[in-house]
Amino acid sequence: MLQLLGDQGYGKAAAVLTDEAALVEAARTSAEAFGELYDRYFDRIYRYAYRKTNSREEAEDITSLTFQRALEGLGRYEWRSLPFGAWLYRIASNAIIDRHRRWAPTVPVDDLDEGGDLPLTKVQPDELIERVEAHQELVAALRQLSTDQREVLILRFSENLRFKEIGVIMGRSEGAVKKLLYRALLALRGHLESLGGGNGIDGFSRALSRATSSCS
Amino acid sequence: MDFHERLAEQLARALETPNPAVGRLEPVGGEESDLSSLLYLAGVVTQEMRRPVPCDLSFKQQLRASLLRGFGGPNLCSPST
Repeated sequence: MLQLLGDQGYGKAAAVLTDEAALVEAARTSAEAFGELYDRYFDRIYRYAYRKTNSREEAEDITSLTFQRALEGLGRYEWRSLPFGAWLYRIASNAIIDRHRRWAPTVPVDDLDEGGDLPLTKVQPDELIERVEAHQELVAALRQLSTDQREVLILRFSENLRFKEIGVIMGRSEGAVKKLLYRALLALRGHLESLGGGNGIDGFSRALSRATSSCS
Repeated sequence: MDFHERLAEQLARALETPNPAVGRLEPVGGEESDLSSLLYLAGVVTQEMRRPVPCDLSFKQQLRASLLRGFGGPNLCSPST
């Protein structure tokens, strides 16, 4: 049995996995146990939904739908075929796809946040401008990636999942996920270079890196 | 295994090796530094994607309460739209 562990490692895996398997089993009949699972996964599912939609309202709706469907489907859920965390990510991913298929004419998938939630404290105006510009370049470059390429970047870099775990969620082999991530970064770098007006990735990276270190 | 497959494997190995310096490496030019450049970009993307996302704590609490109210009966939780 496998719980999504990200980079925390597998050293503590046995105890964690046994605990989660028991919790999932208990959650079939116990509201308290389901609440515990909710507490474990809410932040991850919300963050994933937010990164995919770049909208707080949509992230809330997707998170709500995900846990609602999980609650409804828990009786049919089988751990052996899919770890619980991966199951939740899949529900969220399908909910996003369904939603945007339905809403595509009015709500664009890439209605991306343009940096409105950037931390604004302790940042000089020129540094802020530089940071926002670098952020917007990255957002614009991410927009140009395919859905699968963005998915693998989010699962790896936002959710901090291992390649094997990403493979389970995306229904691909570990090797295929590694290639997909490599291709995604290559494509992203290409888009940044074309957006950079000759400055390329080096100029973009320096700007973002300088401004980011000022923010932290 | 061709050039790109080797690079994809090396990149994956480097990313799964805990290295707090990733993302702070200065990118360097030249084909031979392709991996270094991608690792640097991976670090930049990671920094961007790990920024906190705006989340309303009351939404989290309300959704939890709604789900648990609906436990074992008609589900009262529904998306806002």
